[in-house]
Amino acid sequence: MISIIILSLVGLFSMIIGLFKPNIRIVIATVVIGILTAAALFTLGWNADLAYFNDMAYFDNFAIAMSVVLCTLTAMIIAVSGYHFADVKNYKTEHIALFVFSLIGMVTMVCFDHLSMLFVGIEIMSIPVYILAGSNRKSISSNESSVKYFLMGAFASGLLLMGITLIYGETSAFHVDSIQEYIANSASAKTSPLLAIGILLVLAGLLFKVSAVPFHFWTPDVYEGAPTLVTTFMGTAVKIAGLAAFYRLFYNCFLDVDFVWLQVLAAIIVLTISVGSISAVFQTNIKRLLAYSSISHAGFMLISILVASDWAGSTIVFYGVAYALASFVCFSVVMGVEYASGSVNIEVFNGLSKKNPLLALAMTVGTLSLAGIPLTAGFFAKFYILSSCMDGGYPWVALVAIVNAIIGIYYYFKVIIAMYFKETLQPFEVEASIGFKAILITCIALIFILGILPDSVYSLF
Amino acid sequence: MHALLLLFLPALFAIVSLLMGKSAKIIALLGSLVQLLFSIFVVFNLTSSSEPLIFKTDWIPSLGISFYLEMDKLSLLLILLTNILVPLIILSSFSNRPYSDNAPFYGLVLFMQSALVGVFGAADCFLFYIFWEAALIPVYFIAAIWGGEDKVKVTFKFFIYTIFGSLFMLLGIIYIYLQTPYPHSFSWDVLSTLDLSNSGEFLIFGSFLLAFAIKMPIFPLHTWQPDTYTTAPTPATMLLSGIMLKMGIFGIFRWIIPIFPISFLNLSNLLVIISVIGIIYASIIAIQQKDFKRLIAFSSIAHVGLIAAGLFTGNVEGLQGAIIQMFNHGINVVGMFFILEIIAQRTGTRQIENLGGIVHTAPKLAVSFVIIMLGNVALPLTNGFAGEFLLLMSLYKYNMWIGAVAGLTIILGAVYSLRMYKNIMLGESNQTTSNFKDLTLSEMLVVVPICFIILALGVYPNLILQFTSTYSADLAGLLANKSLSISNILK
Repeated sequence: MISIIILSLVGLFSMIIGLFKPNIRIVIATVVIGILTAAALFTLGWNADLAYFNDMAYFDNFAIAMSVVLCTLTAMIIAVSGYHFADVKNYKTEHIALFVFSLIGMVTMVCFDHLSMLFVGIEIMSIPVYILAGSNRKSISSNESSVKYFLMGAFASGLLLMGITLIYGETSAFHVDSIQEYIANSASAKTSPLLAIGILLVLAGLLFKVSAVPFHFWTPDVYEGAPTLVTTFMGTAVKIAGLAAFYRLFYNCFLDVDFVWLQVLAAIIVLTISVGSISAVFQTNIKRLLAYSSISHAGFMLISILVASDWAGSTIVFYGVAYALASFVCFSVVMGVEYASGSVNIEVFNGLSKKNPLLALAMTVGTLSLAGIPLTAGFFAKFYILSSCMDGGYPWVALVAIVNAIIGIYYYFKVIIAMYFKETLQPFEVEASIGFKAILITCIALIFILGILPDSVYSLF
Repeated sequence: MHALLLLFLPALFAIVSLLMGKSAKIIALLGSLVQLLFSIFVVFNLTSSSEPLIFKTDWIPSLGISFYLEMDKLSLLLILLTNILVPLIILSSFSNRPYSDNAPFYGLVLFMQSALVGVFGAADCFLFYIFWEAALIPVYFIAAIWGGEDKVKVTFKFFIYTIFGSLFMLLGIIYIYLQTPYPHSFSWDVLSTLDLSNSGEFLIFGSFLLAFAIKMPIFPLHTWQPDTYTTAPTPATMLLSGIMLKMGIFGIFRWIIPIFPISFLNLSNLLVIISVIGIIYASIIAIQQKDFKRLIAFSSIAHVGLIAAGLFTGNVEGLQGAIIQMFNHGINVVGMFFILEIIAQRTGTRQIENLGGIVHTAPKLAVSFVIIMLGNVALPLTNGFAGEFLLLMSLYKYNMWIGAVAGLTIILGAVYSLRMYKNIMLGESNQTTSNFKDLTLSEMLVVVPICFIILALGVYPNLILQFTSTYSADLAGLLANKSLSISNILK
């Protein structure tokens, strides 16, 4: 509770301080410290299961873990914004404020206990991202990205709201617990078309947010057009916040009517994983490649909701952390290389290992983790998913996942091969500040620590 | 504790040599020699006590994964092979310009050594999988950085091919893990007591076999191998052919036979036939090769095919022959690739037809080449003889006709090996070979131990046969029991 207030104050501070034309580095440092303080304060509620606002928000351990992850991630993204702000002339602090406001929306999404909170959270998260996607006003693709994201996002929000309304019509409740109770106790609810349609509409709205097939068409274009810092944010924080909300709603609410959505979700997972990884094979633009890879990873994460085992929450948190760390590393290296070369084609990565060994190493560890090679966090993430999938009676989904993991290795290694085994085409120097290097090294270390001792996160709750 | 040291010493030296810069190669050599001496000490200890080395501690308790090493005689034999070959491989690369002063090269070789010891020593299936994958990464980088023409494409094919197999094995591992009684466990002693007969044992067996067969490689999954062996730099080729392919054979011994004995027996007929087809196929292709590195690559497929065929018969001669031949093949193929690398470096060509008459200027090379080559064609009094004899005997016992066809390998092997030797070493010297320099001291240091082992094991193969006789007898006994119980059920 206090954390959300702190985050709002940090956002407002960053918005207002812009009037006084401050040094951007000081603002970044203050905001990062503010967000990390908020993250630390979240942990005070561990095991306390506190509820706020007439039970509209409920901070169980899952919500706290997710909030801390999202805060840390956003702080890291703001901390590496140096490349981004080198190109931006005006309204720098307002950009930072938008990131913070979006973060507040995400925190709302992972702690909601009331469907209106879910909707409000999604909107608070999305609207700043619509603006940020178009923040490079002179670039046509950035504008296209913003408009596309906004139109599709608004459409999805409409579907979600319609779904919530229909669910209310059947259950006359907004509270997650009351809905669950109603469904469990009422015989008619299980056959009610109103509820079924409502659930499917909510499903569609949320699937849009996590960019699952067939609601994924916006993802590559938006990721490509948006400034890379914003893409980093969308590819990591926004995605796992969407999945956390998805998990919270479906796991806590609709398990009793799973016949309505389970088969649909299974089909969507298979499609998402396959379309994501097969499309990624053909990409020559690294941002598009990572966009398709993020689609495929969303499919992997959805598996834990499909199986709904007792430890689905831990699996989502672990996968989310592993995926977000690796993606963050990859996107921020892309940002550095893009700043130096002005391009995001895979060819500009040729020979990066000689130009800047640390960036190349970070990118390698990041892609290895995304590919799920052992001793990285990504391996255990995949392992948890696959074993729960086999245990939960979906061996065929596991088979599809494995085949796509192999395809994934193919396209992730294209980047590694470019960096290590190909000769440079364009001469340019890639510079990295000390802070940027420190963050990358920390992330590499974390990826390995989670890959060797996964219990340190997994058995937290 | 010994087991843990055996596992981590090379990795420790790898880190030290990475930090040493220019003098990395000295550290790497010293480190690998220390490791060799230590493993000889451990092997002697084990011969007297015959208790396996065990190290067990919890690693990821929530999943029932333990850091469980258990090194019995088979493990130690292969660990010894690894530890004999790695110093030789390191020493053999000293004179080789592109990597001789490169700290990362030596670091990668030593990391690979650690992973290989892990594969041979792990008694927890999950740990085994981790090491299995970890062994692949260093050799991939060695091959892709320092390889020859088309290195990126070829090594990538190799990488995807092997990962393809091992990811299916991962699914299989998860599946058998979920079959264990709660709390689930990956450890070898639990898995080997599972009764999988009602639950798709056949498919899971297939997923393991796929991974192992790709690694070995068995016909028809061998298509990555000739290109990779030819393109990779010779140290990587030695690592792949000398040690890495033993991972596949070892996997069949350690995991497939104890966990899936029934599927193994049911499919053995088919697998023996496929392996024998592979022997003949690879031998015939080897005869037609003009590039000598490629020729040895195909001959390696033929030799591994024979090992696999003997192994799949499941009788005690086959198992014993496969064990001893794993060791011998490792020594011989590394020696062969080393000699050929010397010739390729000095003459600048790998085409057999461009060479000839090297014997006139390089007698030492000629003698050692003869010894290694004869070991490769399994002449009596060389190490290959005892192993191939046992393997062919097991095939003959299994089925006379299969044994007869597999016996052709001796003739075909002699054809391509002797022809290659004749065309490279004998005859008139030409422009490329007239100034050929004989072996230098550092090259002698590699060749002499290899020749010594070839002759020593040729004269006294009991050294290995006795060491592993109880192991293979037990395994063969297990298989015989199972097949007896199957036939009882059928009656």
